[in-house]
Amino acid sequence: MNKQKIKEQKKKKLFFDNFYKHLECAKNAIRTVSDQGMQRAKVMIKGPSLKRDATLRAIRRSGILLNFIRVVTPMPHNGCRSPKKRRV
Amino acid sequence: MAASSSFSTLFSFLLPPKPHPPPITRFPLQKLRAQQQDGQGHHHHSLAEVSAVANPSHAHAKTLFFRSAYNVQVVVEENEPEERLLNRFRREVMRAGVIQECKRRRFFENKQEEKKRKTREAAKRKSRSRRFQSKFQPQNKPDVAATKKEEDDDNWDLPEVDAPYISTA
Repeated sequence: MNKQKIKEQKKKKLFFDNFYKHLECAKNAIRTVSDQGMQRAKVMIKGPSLKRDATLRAIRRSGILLNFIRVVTPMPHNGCRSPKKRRV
Repeated sequence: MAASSSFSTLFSFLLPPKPHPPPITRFPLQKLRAQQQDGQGHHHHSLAEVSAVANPSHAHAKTLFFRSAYNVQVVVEENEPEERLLNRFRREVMRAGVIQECKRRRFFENKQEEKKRKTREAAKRKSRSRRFQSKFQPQNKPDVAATKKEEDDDNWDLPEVDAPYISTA
């Protein structure tokens, strides 16, 4: 019983941490930049994730205008051998 | 004199890529690979600088320009609603296939898995082409082109099959 509850709490914590941390980063950046008087921005997104809609919404709703949105995800190539895939 | 010429060559290298990027670009996997080659070309760029100083005749050898420094770009219109922008952005990202490619490259895959993946991708491509053909049935020319491509694929598959057989025998 207690072990099960602890597992559930850990899962919740991980989920919320992963879900909200990039949004908080974006909000902090927006606050700092808007305090300095920025009005228009060019957004460049890096990373293989689809959880960036919330970030874009935050930037959009903060009143900062956008010129464009770019995805500049780096693509690994010709390095050392990657680890083998996990067998589940 | 040599220094000024090298600077002028550097500027000539750097300036042209700027006007190239179009407003909206879409990147299938092949172009992504081309982009990687461009990345390698960038390394060659530094080597080209050194070779330009040592051997002026090799100044332009193996010089490649970046096709574009990004995978997807969505230009925001004035007074565009939020939902439309987000949907457009998401659609472009899914079309470019950046996320699937990143997931694939995170782990090593051996020859067998690579073959499986390519087979699956080919099947998907054929299914897409079928949908396209079904929409435009009266046109016969793309059918001929598709059959030619399929034949080419069949021809290229044979040597791969022969090689391990020969090695086993």
